Formats: sequence, structure tokens, C-alpha cells
Amino acid sequence: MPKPKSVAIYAANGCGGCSQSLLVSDRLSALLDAVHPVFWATQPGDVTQAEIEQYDDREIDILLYAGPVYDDESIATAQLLRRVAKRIVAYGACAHLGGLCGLANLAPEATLHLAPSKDGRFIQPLSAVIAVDYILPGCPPPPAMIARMVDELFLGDELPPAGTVFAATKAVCAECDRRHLATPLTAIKRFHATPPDPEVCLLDQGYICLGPVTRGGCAAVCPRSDRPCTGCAGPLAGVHDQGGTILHALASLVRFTGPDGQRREREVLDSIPDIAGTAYKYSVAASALKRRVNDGS
Amino acid sequence: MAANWISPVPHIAEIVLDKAEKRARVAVRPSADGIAAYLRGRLAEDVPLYVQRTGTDPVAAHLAAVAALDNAYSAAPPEKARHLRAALAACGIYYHHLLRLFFTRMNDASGVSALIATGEAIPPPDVMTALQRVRDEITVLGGRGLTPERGVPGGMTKGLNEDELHQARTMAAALLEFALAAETAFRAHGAEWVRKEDIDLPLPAVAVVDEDGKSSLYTGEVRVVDPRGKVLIDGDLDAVVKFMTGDAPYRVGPLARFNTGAGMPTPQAQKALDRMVADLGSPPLHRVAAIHWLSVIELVAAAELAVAALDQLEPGDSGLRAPLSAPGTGTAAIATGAGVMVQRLALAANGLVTDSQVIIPQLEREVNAALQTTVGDVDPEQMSAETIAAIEGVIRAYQPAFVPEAPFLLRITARGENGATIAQWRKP
Ligand code: SF4
Ligand code: SF4
Repeated sequence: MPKPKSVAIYAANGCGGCSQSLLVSDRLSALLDAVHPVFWATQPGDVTQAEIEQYDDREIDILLYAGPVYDDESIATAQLLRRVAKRIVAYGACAHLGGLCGLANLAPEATLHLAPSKDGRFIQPLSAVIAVDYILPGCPPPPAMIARMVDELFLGDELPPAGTVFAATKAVCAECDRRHLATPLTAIKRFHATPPDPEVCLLDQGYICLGPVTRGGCAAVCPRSDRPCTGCAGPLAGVHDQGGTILHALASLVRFTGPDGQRREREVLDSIPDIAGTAYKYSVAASALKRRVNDGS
Repeated sequence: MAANWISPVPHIAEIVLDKAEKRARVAVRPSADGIAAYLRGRLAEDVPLYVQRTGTDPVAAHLAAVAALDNAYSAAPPEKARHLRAALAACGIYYHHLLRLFFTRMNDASGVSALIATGEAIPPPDVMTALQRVRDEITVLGGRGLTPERGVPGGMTKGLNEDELHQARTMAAALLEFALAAETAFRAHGAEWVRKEDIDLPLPAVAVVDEDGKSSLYTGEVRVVDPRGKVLIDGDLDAVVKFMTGDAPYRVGPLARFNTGAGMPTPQAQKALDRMVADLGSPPLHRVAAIHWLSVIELVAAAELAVAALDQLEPGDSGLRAPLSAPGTGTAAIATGAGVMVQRLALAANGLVTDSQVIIPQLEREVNAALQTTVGDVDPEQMSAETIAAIEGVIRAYQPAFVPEAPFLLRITARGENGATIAQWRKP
């Protein structure tokens, strides 16, 4: 019998959601039956840098890393983990894209524990500081994507090719059964104020849905709950800036004819509230925006 | 390969001993306080999504934000939405307690399933099934398993169709069955430990009570009582916020609910509570170890509340949302598994957040008070095995666990005058 793969989970900088998504997975038992668990850390005290240093280089076969990196210490820990792990999975939106807390990179005086501080800390995706082998998207990753990762990475005979993203290659729209309208978009709506038509594409109705620019694999859970996709699985392959892409798409969907058409189009686009939080909810840190560079004064 | 540690649920893991302070205290962990900085300028309707990803109880955080938004938009949710939310809240408490009871203390065995119950009280696969079932229940009710997303100001985005309602009721009945089995098993396997543990720490208590004055696991009035049970604050949220953000230690969570409310909100949980009090010979009041037993009893209460709320529901999506008024400010407090969460939101006319405050239950203060009372002054340069054992005893009393004797990770860090680490102990 082949030696079981050794696995470590480092989720000390996350919110706990990623760790729990694995804990509640239907595949957890199969995973634990197949591997040798090394550690499962959900807070910095669970495994220290000194303890990580005790492992040999590449001693751990696969490391799942959840949460962002945000200061010298978390960067140093990530670098140590890189040294001791053969393969690293960026698990969840924070490790993949910086995550929601990346929005703090835009706040002038952010004080969130993961936020940029006066000494220059800011949120970064894991791949900004170390090489990442695989990506498991989502905030937290949905059950089907976790199952795929477990099957391909831990239960299969061969490792998936480096760079594999355990999500669909097509957009969320491909998994959404709402029907499209042929009419152009003339107003931006918000789902809390105006309940959407449950049958019709949210974007076509004027709700900013990130479905077209976001990797699928989640079965379009958010549109099925009558709320727009918020983009947690990150951009489609080949797209660098998820937020910029949806904003471009919107610009071409809003259409007015007549002499003041252009002005009215601009008015609709200008009416988009909280552009960063809407278009870049999970991806500020991985986008062209990245972070605020002035001191906010 | 170095020692393994399996810790899928955050817990109190590190105690700091400071030469200057001469006392043991819980290492300060990140809090949600700073979330105000990035909520500013965000869409009001997204707040329930943001706050549930701050490291606190995600179902409760979602529902507390939604309740604050109801108030900010002066929109009282219709009855059907209230029942749906109540079922979701009950599942959130159930999920929280299940995690804390069965998954907080683990050791270095080779699989989580094998670690769940160090005793043989409950077959580990049954615990996994219950955990996955409550995840599925939250998915049906709230749209997503760990982070429900259907709460909106004034209601819920979506109801349940006939199949979903049937499925939800079947799962809730099974969750109740598991909770009752857990309560029976705890009496057989965990009660003895609670009986002999003697950390007794009188503190004021903060908890939510329902309209009958009983412990609430969701909405109601927040009540603060002194250690003798005298009501200090009853429903005045501003005063509660002031109290919770003040310096004095206080208690939240199952033992605080026990001391604040007039019993359990549901019949089978009340019976279980009566059994516990009879077994212990007197109400536990300030006996910290009772947290374990009360958590198991609350598991029963949460399942009964979910069953009752789902009984009130009818299939269909209509009548789930109240019209919104112009946005303003809203504050709400709800019970969470760990205690009480308060959220305050101020919204601009365009529905963007201008200010916010999220107050989450803080166990650290209570534990620090217990460490001070039980362990007393400690000189980090003069540590003895007895002192380490005393610290471990306090932390053990505070970590809810179905098998209280199960091992758990504890790291004690001694710091010298300049803050540098001078020694470290780790158990196991
Ligand atoms: S990706 Fe989402 S669930 Fe995972 S740690 Fe980050 S905020 Fe939490
Ligand atoms: S834009 Fe959104 S609602 Fe429309 S098809 Fe795509 S995922 Fe569905």
C-alpha cells in the first residue's frame, strides 16, 4: 500500500469559515481515512513558527492554507510553510484573492485585525508572497468544490496538474436557470429595496450580479436565493480584474437611444453605489486597485 | 515529524504571564471591533454578509445585522419571515454548540471521527451526521450552509416550497432526537466531572430573555443581573452597550442565560434543566463547569425551537418582506451560542453605511477574572507545576466539551519586563 499523504491545514488567519467548511464536508471522513493529518491550526497559537521550523523541507505532502496574509509575521509563516510543504492549496477567497477584508486596504484608518495599519500592513492574497500550486475558491468554498478537491488531490492516484482551480471553468451564469431579457438595462436596482422577479436574470433586471465574470461550481446558490452573485469564487481563467470586467460589461449593457442617450447612460453608471464593495467585494487585494497608497488625509 | 495537533474550531489556546502584571491572562485574540472601518461606505444590504465573516458565529451575526437593518428601515418583518428567521437562529445555536461540544478538544489521533467523543457516549459517526444535518438545515432555510444569505431588512428574500419545508421538518425532528440522546449520554458520562469541578465565580450576567422572561436563544430583551440575580438593566439597549463595553467583567453564554432567565424556553429542555439541578443538588449559579451541561441542554432547546418555528410555517414565497421606510439608524441585540451580540448601524439616505458598531460576546474577560481568582498572582520567573495545573484547570472548565476530560491544547507564554518571551510551556 502506498504511504498515506501527509496533510496540514493552516487556517490561523481566516475567519473560521474555511476551516469549518472542511469540517462539515461529507468527504471529511474519506479524507481523514486516506491521509496522515499533521496539524489543523485555526489560530496562531495552534502551531508556531518555531514548530513549523522543526519539519524538514517538503516533509508535508499537501498544505491547505486559508485566510489572507497581512503583515511581516504572516508572510514569514507563509514562507516557512512553503518550505516544509510539497504542494500548497490557497483555500478560500482570502487566500485566493485577499477576500472581503481586502476592502480594508481602501480604508484610510482601518483597524481591523487583518487591516493595513500605520506601519504599512495590508491584505494580500497568498500568491503575492509565495508560490501557490492549487486554488480552491469560495467564501467559504462550497461543498461540491471541496468534494472535488478531496477526490482529485487526496483520493486519486495522481496529483492534478499544478495550477488547477477546483471550480468550474465556465461562469456562474452557466449554472443559473434564470431567463434573459432582450431589453437594455436602464436603471440600477438593489435587491433589499426592490424584490427581483424570481424568473429573470438579475443583471438584466438591473441588479449588479457578478455571475458573468465569476467562476461557477457553486450551482448559482446566490441567484437561487434571489440575490445577486457577489463574486466569491473569483475571476474566470484569463481575467485579471474581476471588478473591472463587470464594470465594463455594465457599461455595454446600459443603453439609451435618442439625443440625450449618452448623458442618461452616464447617469445610470454613476448611480452605482459602493463600486469597490460591489464589483471587488472579495478581490480588492488581488485586483489592479490593490490598496490605498496615500494616508487618507 | 513533530507532534500533531488537530484544532478545527478556535478555542482558548494561549495564556500569557506578564512579569509586570504578575497575572495570567488569555492572549488577546483579534476582535471584530475594527470592522467599522471597512463597513463605512458599504451597501446596507451587504452588512449581514460582511459581519458573518469576522470570526464570530456566522448565523447569529447574519441575523443580528438583519435585525439592526429592520430597525434602521423601520420595517417589522411579517410573521412568516419571523418564523423562518427563528428556525434559522435555532439551527445557528445548535451548530455552534455542536461544534464546541464535540470538536473543540481534540488530540493527535489519526482522524477527526475517532476524536469526536473520547468516551464511548455517542458513536462518532452520529455526531458527524448531526453536524452535516444542521449544515443542510441551514442551507435549506438560509440558502447557504455556513453563511446563510436570505435575511434582508424587513424579511427574507425567499421562503420554502413544499418539498423544502418537509425536508426541513424531517431534519429538525432528527436534530431533536440527536440532542435528546446527547443529553442522556452527557448525564451518564459528563455529569460526574461537572459534579466534582468546583470553580465558582460570582459575576454579573448578560443574556436575552423572551416575552415570558425565559432564556431566549434568539430575540427578546437584553437583561443584566448582578451575581445575586438582581436585575440591573432590563431592555435598555444603550445601557446594555455601555455595560458590555465597560471595564467590569461579566458573564455571557449558557450559564449567564441560566442566571438571567426564568428557565428554558421549551418543555423538554426545561425537563432536562430540572434533572440537572436535581442531580447537582442546587442551581449551579456560578459553577463554571455547568457550562458544559447547560450547552447540552441548550442543544435540546434549540432543536425544539426549530421544530416549533417550522410548524408555524407554510410553503411559499409570499408575505416574506415588509415595505421599507427611509433608512436611519438601527440597533439590535440577539442571543448567540456564545452569548449576546449587539449591532448598531447608521445609514445614509442612499442606504450606505455611515457608522457601525459590532459588539460580540467576549469570554476572555470572564476567563481572566477566573484566572485571577483561582490562580492568583503569578511570577513568570517562579512558575511551578501547581501553577500550570491551576491554569489548565481554569481553561478546562471553560472549554465546552462533551467529554470534559478530553485533552486540549494549551500554551502558556511568560513574558519579561520588556515584553520578550522568557519561557513557554505547552500541553499536551
Ligand atoms: S474565504 Fe471567507 S470563509 Fe474563508 S477565511 Fe476568508 S472570509 Fe472566512
Ligand atoms: S447574471 Fe446572475 S442572475 Fe443573470 S444568469 Fe448570470 S448568474 Fe444568473
